Amino acid sequence: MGMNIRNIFYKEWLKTRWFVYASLVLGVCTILYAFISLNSNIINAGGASQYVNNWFAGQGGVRPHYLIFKNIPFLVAVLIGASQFIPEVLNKRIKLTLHLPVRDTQVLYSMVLYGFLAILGIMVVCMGIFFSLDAYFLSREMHIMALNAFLPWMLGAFTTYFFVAMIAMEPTWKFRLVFLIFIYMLIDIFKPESGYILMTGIMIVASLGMLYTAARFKIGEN
Amino acid sequence: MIPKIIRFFLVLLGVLVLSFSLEPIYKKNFAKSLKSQRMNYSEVLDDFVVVQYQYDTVLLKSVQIGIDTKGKVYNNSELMDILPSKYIDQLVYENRFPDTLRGQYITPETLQEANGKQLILYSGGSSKTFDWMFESNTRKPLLELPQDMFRFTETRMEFVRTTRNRITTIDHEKSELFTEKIKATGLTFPVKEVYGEKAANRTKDYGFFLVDSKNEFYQVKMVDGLPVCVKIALPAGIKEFTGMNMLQDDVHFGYVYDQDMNIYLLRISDYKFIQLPIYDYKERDGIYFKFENYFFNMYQLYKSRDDIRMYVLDKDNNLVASIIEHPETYENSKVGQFENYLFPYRAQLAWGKLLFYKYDPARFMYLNIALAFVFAGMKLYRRRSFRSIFNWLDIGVVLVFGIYGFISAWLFPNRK
Repeated sequence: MGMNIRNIFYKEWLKTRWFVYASLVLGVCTILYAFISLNSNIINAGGASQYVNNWFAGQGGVRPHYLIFKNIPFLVAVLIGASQFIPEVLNKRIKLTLHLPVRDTQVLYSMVLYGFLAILGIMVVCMGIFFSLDAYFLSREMHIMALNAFLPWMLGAFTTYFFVAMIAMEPTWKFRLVFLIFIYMLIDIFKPESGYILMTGIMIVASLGMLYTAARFKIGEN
Repeated sequence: MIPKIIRFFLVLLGVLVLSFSLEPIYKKNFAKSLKSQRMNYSEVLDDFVVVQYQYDTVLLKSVQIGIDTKGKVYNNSELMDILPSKYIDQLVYENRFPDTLRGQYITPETLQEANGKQLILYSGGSSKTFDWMFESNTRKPLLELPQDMFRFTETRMEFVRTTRNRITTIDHEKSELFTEKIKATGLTFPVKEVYGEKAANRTKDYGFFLVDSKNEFYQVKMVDGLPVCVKIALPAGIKEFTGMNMLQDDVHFGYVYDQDMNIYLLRISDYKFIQLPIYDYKERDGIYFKFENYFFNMYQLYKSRDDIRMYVLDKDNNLVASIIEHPETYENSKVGQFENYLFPYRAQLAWGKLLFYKYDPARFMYLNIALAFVFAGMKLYRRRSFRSIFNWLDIGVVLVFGIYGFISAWLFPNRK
């Protein structure tokens, strides 16, 4: 079993490695840009105290530096998900995968687990760099504010990834389109005010969604 | 079996998403613009006057009219006479500005200066603050921004220095000075709530108000660089304060709310609490406007968009009059009413909360039942087996969640 997972992980890595590198570069560059602009914004504002005051009072067009990262987790999720599943679906290789002498659930969830860990790894690297740099500039109260903004985006990114996997396994184009619209509407819920219980619950349901479309795929729904 | 169980949860997720998004789509497409109206209190009539626009079929344009509580209608010119504080410029322009009002000599300037409008949002405190301790003893036109910031830890008040581009070093000397002073006044750490004005563009500073671990109330400020801490005695019957709004005022620090959401004004001169005669704030949404004129303070509280209450208080905060207003709203309109028959509820993310607005089951149940029958009919037509519990669960979802359930069950097909 362990061998199978390793093999599937290796197969997925071969498919997605350039997208993983691209995502990593995108995330790290966005964070570096955020801090370069933070440094110049603080100096332009006339000192850190004035900058934070402008930030809290919403003056001088100051927006928290971490907001620039908002769409990156979603983009990474779509990149990894698409690079993993689109070749499988377009070349109809997924049928071969589902006919391996291994249980379908195990194969599919090995693929999803790979994608999940890839996104998690990219996010951990990005967050590590972000908070190391943030600790140089700002105080811990602001790290908490940043973390409170990042967590819903991360949960939203994982949910997006699970839905990309689910959409890829869906056999009909009509419902692929319907699910795309659905995920577009759903992603709006990933805000701190929605509450982490609701967001985590949605992510868990989304993580299981692939089994539903895979079952439809196997019985040849149209 | 497992894919069908997962599908059921996806259907429920679909219901949640649709309950956020379907109602705004309906509203955007069908809602019509509403007749606007404003509630005012006439200092001439001592009565409420609703000001609204009415289409004049002779002039072929909308004209402003006023209606008092007895039903008497005032035209535009009469409206200016009964609401002089609202129409100062127009009255001066027409040379009709009165010399006296309610027996007092008035000028346009005195009335103009007294006019004010303020949105007051109930604000709970937080101990996770990161704020500036301004110098309170200043004669400068604007407060000077300090080059350090403070926060409360579990055991002390901590000042953090800021440099050219960093916020890092802790000023231990200043931190100890302030911590010792507030401890000596009786404050017990940790601090539960901190209230205070954050913005720097103001002329006066009264420091911060703190609720300590024993629910006692303190003020801390900086005068000539040194800490000043005052313990504020709570009036009888008040166990703790749950919120405070700061005012930029020479007479009051701000509005304070107790555990029952009674509203008090905290006076600067003697730290005395003056309770406002507004007792149903708890049942309201926590949003109100304060309109001020030369004679009265008027508080407008909202329960919903179609239930607004206005309290008129004199300058000594005694209740003069109050009224409940039910303006024409989207909810009262035909389209809004039809919404209650269409949707069983709607969900909204607002003011940091996930809100569910439930509708009257007597209205939406007809559509829910009809949709459940249609759904069952579709299943029968497609020869789905009713021995499967999942088909019954689908019908149950449509019955409970109505149109949301119907669309969501269709979004995630359950064919074989």
